[in-house]
Amino acid sequence: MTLSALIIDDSPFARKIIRHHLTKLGFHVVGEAENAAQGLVLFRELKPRLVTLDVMMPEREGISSLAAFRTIRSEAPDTAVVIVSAVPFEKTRDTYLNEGATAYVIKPFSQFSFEPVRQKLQRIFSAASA
Amino acid sequence: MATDSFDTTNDAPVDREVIQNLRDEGDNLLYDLVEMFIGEVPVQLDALQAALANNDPGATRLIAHTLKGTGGNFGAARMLELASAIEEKGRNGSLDGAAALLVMLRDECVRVREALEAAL
Repeated sequence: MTLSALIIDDSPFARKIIRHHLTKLGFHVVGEAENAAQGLVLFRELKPRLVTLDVMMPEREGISSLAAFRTIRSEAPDTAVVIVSAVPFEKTRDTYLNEGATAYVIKPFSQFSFEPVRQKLQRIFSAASA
Repeated sequence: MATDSFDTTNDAPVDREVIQNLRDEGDNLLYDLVEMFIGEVPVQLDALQAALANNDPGATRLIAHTLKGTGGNFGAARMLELASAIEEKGRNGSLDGAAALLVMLRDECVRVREALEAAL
């Protein structure tokens, strides 16, 4: 079964690279958003199984990445959320992971960046379908 | 931040390892990204210049943030640093010195573009 994914990132370059990696992992990317507010709209419309969320996006319509993350976690706790960041701030990473993020991936990406994500998602989705 | 603090002329414009990783991904990923860079970055730089001419800190911050993100995806450290400095000026609402930084950023973007084209 192909699982759906939504990419939320303000950089078109990052979106293209993430799409490439997710496609390699077997996901079908159903949407892309360039800010958290647009991301929430698409999330509710498309109901993806996975969301990648950039943490360092300028706020639009007063919605920050963290607010969007918490909304997604609240509305759809089974949706896997992979956090993408250009900076490995420990406190930020811990905040997201403690609140249920599936993984925290640092830019720029390497061929190994999404491997822990793949392993973790495999466990999550295998358990869900068992 | 003083503009003369950006003396990194000996630094490589892009991180070779990052570029190699993108090349290794195949599927024309690196080629497509370089095409995007060539097409989008000049537009962003012109938009940034317009934002500065209009003394618009909000637009300056947003456009500089986008350019910072672009540089980050290629490991373009100096491009990222310069864009980040302009973004910070936009965030602080004081654009003094931003025009000089933009000149440096334009030059750096040329270096990055040339390095990317050479990597294809």
